[in-house]
Amino acid sequence: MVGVEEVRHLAHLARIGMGDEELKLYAGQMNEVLAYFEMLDELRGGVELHRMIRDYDEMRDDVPCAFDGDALSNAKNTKGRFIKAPRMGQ
Amino acid sequence: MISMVRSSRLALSAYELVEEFRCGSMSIEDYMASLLERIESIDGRINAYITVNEHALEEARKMDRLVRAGSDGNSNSGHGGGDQALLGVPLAVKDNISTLGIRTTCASRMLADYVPVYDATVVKRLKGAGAIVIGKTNMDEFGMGSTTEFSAFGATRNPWKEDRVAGGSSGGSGAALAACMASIALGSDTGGSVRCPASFCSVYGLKPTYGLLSRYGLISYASSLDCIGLMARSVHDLALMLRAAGRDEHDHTSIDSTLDLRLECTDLKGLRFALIKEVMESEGMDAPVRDCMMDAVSSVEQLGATVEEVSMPVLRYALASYYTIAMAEASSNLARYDGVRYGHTMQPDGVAWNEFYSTIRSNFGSEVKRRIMLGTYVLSSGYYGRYYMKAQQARALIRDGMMMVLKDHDAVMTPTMPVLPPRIGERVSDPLRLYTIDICTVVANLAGIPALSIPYSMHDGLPIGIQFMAGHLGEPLLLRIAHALESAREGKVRRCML
Repeated sequence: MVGVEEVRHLAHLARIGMGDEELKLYAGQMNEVLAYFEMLDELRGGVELHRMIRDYDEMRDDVPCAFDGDALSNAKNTKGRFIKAPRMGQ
Repeated sequence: MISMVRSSRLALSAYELVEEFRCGSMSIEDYMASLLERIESIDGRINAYITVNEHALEEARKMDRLVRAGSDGNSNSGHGGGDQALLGVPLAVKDNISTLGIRTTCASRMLADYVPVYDATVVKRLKGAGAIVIGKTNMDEFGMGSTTEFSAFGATRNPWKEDRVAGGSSGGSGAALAACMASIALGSDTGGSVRCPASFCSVYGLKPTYGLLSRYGLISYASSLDCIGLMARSVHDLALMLRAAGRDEHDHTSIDSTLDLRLECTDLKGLRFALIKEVMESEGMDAPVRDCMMDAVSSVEQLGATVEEVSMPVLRYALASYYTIAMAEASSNLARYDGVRYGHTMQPDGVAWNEFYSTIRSNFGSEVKRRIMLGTYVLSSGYYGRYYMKAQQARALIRDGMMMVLKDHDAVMTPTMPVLPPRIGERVSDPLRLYTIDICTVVANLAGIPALSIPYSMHDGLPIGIQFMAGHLGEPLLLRIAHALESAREGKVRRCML
């Protein structure tokens, strides 16, 4: 069972601002969905997970390439050629 | 604007349209103008489009000039087809697929004014083949939903009965085709989001083999399941659109493949199809859907196929596995919306990082928040082994089970959706009940195999679709099945309103 306080913690981890009413609503709905997911626990080990249908044996070289376009044109908080972000500390 | 093209022509298939444009019996500009006029007159009710391309008419005019100059033959080479197989064809694009210079919102307040600086590879290739983007279609926010009710721009209505949902999450694309507001459309399919609206709107919807269509430019929801899907009113049109397939250097999971997409055979002789007992016996299936399915079995048998029932008990875990994995991947993928580089934001001066981030992200819609929270939970320490790892085990078992069935059978046959299109508002407040209607579609995404929804019949004015799933790169077989049924049921099923 997920309680309101645990949902508050999850909302913090996911960085989604939520009011008390919303937290209560999600707690109820999440419990219902998680109760359904519980059936997965019936499965026991012995299943090999990492078989690939095909091999991804080629790794792209980590080489930067120029992007043909203004990749940062959607940034709104700018100052000169910089993008403004909030401060990291409290 | 005065209507320049007879309205019945708006129902033409893409391949018929291209012939008309080539021989000059109709100009692309006139056709586009008529289509835009139709959108203007009926989309206020249907709400299929979030944005209409304001340059569509100008692009049509340019294409007409190319036709007149006779240079439509070799103006493009490489992927997309140098033969301009989609010359002048109006293409609707789901609003989570990037379009250069055209707003792409994912039906979210978070991206309400986001304008991509590049075209998705699939869009680029279809444009290369001559298609013209007519607009961006409505959807469930970030692809999370099965009804197109979870959109920040309002629900899309089903053109066949406007009090019903159009399906989702690519509901705008399905509705645009059914209401003749586009000729072909792109959607995306993470757990059935192309096939569900195709079924509810009576059009074709193809979820290709994972990797066949590049995901470059598709805004991520659950990357191991996401596919761009194709929607059309004819099987021939799907074959034309599959020209967008093939390896793309921008998507490491894309496949290089050559498919034989000729549609010559109109029977199903020698093919073996499997019916899954657990699907057919599920309690949640509406009676008209079950009846339609039995009728479809008779139809394919008459066309020469044999149909056998198989049992796959592991499908009991399909929904739980799918939703656990999809939500986990979503919680990770959607962490990128931080209000710094793009999307919804606020003034950052004097605001601490956590507060800034949390405030901005409170603008996600309710279903997106729910899935991010559940995804965060199933990945959190202490629960990872109980949910996420088990979901991956179930996925492996389901994939193996499907491979086994497809060793002995050419395709698996199910209804696309177990229910008729619900009324708008009917299921929206009960998430779990809403998730259960994806039972037949999530299997193909978990297994990475192709699946096609075929419009089959109507019950009380509501469309019912039948789904076929095939092995990896089985698209030619799926098109053959659809083509045989399309020919056999000519005149028995309507694919648009006109």
